[in-house]
Amino acid sequence: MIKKLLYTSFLLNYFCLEPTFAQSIDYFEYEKLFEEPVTMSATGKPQRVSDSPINMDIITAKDISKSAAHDIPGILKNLVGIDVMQWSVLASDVNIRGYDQPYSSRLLVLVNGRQVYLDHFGVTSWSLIPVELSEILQIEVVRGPNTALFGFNAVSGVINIITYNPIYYSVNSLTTRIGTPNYKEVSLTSSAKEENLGVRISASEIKSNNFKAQNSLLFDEYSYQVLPLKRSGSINVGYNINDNTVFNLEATTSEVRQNEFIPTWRLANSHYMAGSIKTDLNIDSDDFGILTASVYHNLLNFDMKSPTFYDQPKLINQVTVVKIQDLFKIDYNNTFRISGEWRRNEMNSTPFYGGDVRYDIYSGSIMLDHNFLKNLTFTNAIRFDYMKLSRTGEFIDQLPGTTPTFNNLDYDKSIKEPSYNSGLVYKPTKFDTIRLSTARGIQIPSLVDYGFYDVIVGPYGSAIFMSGNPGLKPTVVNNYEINYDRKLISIDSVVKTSLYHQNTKDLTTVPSTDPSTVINEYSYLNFSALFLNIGNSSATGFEIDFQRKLKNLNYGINYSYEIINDNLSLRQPQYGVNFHDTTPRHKINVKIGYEDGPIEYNIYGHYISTTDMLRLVEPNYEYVKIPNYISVDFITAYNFNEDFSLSLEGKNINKFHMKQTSGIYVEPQILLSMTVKW
Amino acid sequence: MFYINTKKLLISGAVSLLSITMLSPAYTNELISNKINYSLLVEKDVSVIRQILNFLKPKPGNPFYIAIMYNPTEKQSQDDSIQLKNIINNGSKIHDLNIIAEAVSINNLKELKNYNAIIMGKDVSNYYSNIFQAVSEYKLISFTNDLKCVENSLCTLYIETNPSIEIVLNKSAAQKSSISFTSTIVMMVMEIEK
Repeated sequence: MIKKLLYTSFLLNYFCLEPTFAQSIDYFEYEKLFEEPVTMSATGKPQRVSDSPINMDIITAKDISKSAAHDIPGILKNLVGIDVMQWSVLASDVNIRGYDQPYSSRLLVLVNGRQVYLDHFGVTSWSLIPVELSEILQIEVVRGPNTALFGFNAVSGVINIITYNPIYYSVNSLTTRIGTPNYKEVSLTSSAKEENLGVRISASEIKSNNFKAQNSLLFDEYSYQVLPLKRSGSINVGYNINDNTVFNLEATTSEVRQNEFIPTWRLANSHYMAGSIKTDLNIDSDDFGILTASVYHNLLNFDMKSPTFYDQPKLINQVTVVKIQDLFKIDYNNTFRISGEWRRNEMNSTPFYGGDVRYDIYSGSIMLDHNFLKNLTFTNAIRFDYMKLSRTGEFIDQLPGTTPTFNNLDYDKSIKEPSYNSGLVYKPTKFDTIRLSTARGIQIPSLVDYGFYDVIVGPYGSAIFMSGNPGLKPTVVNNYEINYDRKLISIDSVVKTSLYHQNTKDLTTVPSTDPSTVINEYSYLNFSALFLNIGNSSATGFEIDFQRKLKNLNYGINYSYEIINDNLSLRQPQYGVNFHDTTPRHKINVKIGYEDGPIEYNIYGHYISTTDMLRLVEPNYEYVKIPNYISVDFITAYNFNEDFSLSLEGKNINKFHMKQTSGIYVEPQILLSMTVKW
Repeated sequence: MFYINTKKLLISGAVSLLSITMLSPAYTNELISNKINYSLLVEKDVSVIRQILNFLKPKPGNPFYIAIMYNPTEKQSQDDSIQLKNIINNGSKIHDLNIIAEAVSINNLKELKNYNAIIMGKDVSNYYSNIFQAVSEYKLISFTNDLKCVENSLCTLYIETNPSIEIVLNKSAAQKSSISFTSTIVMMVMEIEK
């Protein structure tokens, strides 16, 4: 620890004394040079996606413009191995390689390196992300646990959204979109650039009606319906201090009201208000490589109404992160990265106010990228996290005559966990790439898991006191994977394949009526229940992705197969967890795109095999059969010129009332969009 | 319920991987055997050269003069250099950098003092040493698609564009000519020193 502090202090001193070198990476320039997307996310080292030691896809701005989707989950679902559960017009849960569930919390989602997943539960509210599609340069999708390389929550994968740097690019775009169900959207992005300074602002508003498939709602859920609303705004400032030093400042705000499913597999009416501020400094120096320092603060105000809760949970969650990283070449064959991070994550106890639960995490990581040969690279990263949990404030008695389950001393705990990523990239020919990788990812329990304190409605009018559990262990995911990519030059295309096996240890679950989660039975109807570690699970899967791009025509198909075996200590599905049945075994995505002068046609098809999804129907969970389904999306665009286009978009157009989850049925959406650029 | 065990899945996955490995091997071999003659650069190579100049430190002056070296005793060498000159001079600007190319004979190496960079043309491999002496003296960057020239520290950058972009940088050759690039691009190319 002392050494780490000394090193950090050294870097900070160096950094403060000589802030005269640096250049932030201009992704687009490198993409043009190497004719493929470029990433810095995997190792911190700038590299082509084909050289990356991890399984990664990059969705470019061009791919986004041709997508029929108008939100990020809609774009992601076209990729191999991605699971999307759409709960309402705005709300979706996304995960990589199965294990998707309401409030999916296994994914690390970043915008320009800032986490946009919500740290109180590790969940991503996709509609809350304050970024417009028009300002996205690329979306990096990383499969598998990558905690050592990326950080927390990266246990099933990483979604890294990168926007255009305003220093290099001006994006000026206005999109209006109208359609069903009474959907109205306006999205604006505007930039100003002058020599070394670039500024971009963006803002949007979405209003809509709900899907009308109300027959899929339970009786007590009708009154919890809410009209979807999204508002967001952001400002991004970039300043080139000199040729080698770039400073960035981002500030965002967003608000969302939506219906969504919560971890108890019931409908909720959720209201999110979020804000953030972030600064970065990048220095590119001949003396010490690429040095990056960033500081950011996220604030979330969240409240929810649901038949699950007697009262209305209200949360205030604040996250502060300070990170410094240095990447340099030791010699021709070795690139080294060292980084240190501190974060504070805090949340009030709700709805029984008076308490605050928080943790501080100190992390250090190193990465070495070694070229054995020109065509053989071995990358290893190790990270160590030290977490200190604490709680202050009162515990309100749950019922007269009862005692709280825990006291503040029980929260005086610490966790020390190592994680690693190891990847070997071998290119036997100019056409073939083989990747062997293994990783250990860590998912620290969320603040809700540790410190939530509320009453939920149990069966037959009973009251269950939900209590966080300071004794929870982190979830550990080990992944073993082989990828093989081949360029098929004869047909100008690429085939990518993956085979993986993943073990997850110490899954957690929310409290429920299962006897094993109950710790204090005050009476027949009233008892306390805990968040618990409930056992292990393993997943094995195979993925294949074929893409071909011709001059006017592009098409592709991908298929993923996955089987999950749960080994849980409690009986299923009483506690709302059953990944074996809720994860589809087979997923197929097909796309065909054709350009004819100013007209573009793109059509997307998705096949999802049968699942048995859970739903809480008092007094217990029950299975809802989700038959296999095909959904079809399309976009037809007419580009009058480079600056003006009209498009007609359709989502799930092939069936009315499509049963995709155990929640609200999804309906077809037809949207007309107009985009003006300047 | 439909069930496939892990063993079966691993076997089927391995079979699929092998099947793809075997896919279109004939075409691959054909492509390798028809590898473009190293002494003739094509339009795509020129495009890479144009773009990589943007990563020079300090930024290149404008206009930027490039000499295309040719062997006057070989007609094909002279023709190729003129063809390449036309490709460069007629190409589009990148970052407003105006690149002006001229064919320069290996017998007129003193002329190189008026240039910022050279491209090794066809049939000049026997003169790499002489050319490099001039290149070092006049602090020029040199481009080639003959890997041996870079491996022998007689050229700065090797460019290959088929089937994918490959760039090899010889650091000692660059240092001798006082050429340096941004750290970012150096991390993305293959760097060698001999």
